[in-house]
Amino acid sequence: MNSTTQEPSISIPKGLTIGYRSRRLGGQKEINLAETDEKIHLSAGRHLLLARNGRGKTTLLKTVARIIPSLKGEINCEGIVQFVDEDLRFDSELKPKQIFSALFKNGQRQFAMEMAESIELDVEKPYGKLSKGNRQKVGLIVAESRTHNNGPQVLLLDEPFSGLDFAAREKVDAIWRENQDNIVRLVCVHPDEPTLQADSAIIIREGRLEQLEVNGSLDWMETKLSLN
Amino acid sequence: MELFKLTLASIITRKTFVIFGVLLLALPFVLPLMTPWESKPSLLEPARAQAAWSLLWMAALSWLLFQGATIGDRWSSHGILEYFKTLGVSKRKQMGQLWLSCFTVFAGFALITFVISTFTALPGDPIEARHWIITNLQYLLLFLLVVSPLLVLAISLGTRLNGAAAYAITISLALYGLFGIGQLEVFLADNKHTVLNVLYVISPHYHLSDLTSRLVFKLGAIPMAQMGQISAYLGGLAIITVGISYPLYREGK
Repeated sequence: MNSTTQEPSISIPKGLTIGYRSRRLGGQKEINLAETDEKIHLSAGRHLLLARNGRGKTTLLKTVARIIPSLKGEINCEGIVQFVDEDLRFDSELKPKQIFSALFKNGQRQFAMEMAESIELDVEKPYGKLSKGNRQKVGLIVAESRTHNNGPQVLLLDEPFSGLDFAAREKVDAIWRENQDNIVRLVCVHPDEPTLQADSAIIIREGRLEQLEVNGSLDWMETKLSLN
Repeated sequence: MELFKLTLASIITRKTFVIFGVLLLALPFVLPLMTPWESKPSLLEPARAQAAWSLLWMAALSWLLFQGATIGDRWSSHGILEYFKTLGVSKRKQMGQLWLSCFTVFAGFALITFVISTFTALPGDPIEARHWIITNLQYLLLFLLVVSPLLVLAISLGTRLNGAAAYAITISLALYGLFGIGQLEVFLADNKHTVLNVLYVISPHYHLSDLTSRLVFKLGAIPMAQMGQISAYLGGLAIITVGISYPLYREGK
């Protein structure tokens, strides 16, 4: 993890199990959420993560980011890993401009400011006064700016579009298309958001983690129905 | 150092440090004037030093420890620490950067106090003046040896508990070490109690770092050998406190 080899990737081995270990009196209890039947390999591109609520989407992202350990097997990532949680929040008093200044230098800071302008984020308004959608824009900008001229990247995004309007989504989609080399984007999305193009999709259904080749576009209705 | 810069930006934007900065600059000159100093003007300068150091203790126990506890709480519950963890910023580095961001502002407070106490209350006699400067330097060193690890503890507890609980625990420990032990000592002077005696021995004797009375009564600098012992003791205590803080630190809640 966090190495800077040529190609970014995520390799999930066969038999990998994700879930939680809960400590209780008298021992540990493992709660399995999902398991792979086949090896999954994600290379540079856009990959969607789809599942119904509580099936382990965020758990998978956190496991890839090594915030929590897997129950069985080990995920291998090549590239600088970033996990942007849906609940990531900055200080309510800080303005987005101050956040970008603290986190980035020169080129990346300029990229952040340009992206903010492109997706119509008011960088002078304190974070605490921004709407939910605009707060999500800050997280997205932070994630995208860090990938700018920074070697191979693995970007794990947890429901980044849940508060964004269609215009902002389309602009983010365009920015992703322009900046897709050397970046693996694993994007957790709600099955009811049929707006994004993708190179592949990972779905979690009936405790199984599977990869679907989608060749650019996903048959959303079929996928949605299969998750039920 | 991004976590450091982000936290420092947060502290500066919230501006609470300004209140303490103004108090530290003004009150050492104002408070001594509220005493009957006209009857003995020579008391004015030691009283200024006393006010300056007392205010620094207040700033440390209120502003600094509260900042540490709330920043630990805020960043861990808002996902910031987990975000930096995924970027490869280790627990040790995170603790260091959070500590440094709070301490950077507080270092300004300590400097204000040191300058006021040293140079606006400097005795006229050269030997006394030399002792005065050395005592202030010793005070600063011992003070920082006590306050710095307590800040680490407040941050770590904040990441695990909530800010209020983390602050309450840290300030209780600090107050016990500064004042509570004195009460225990008085009790043990008149009574034999094995358990309390053990408690006295293992308690953090933070009061050793409070040299205010030494300044006020112009007792001179602490002899080097004694200063070495006190520094070693407080340094050891600092290592233990940081050692305890490390496993308490959590990136996420």
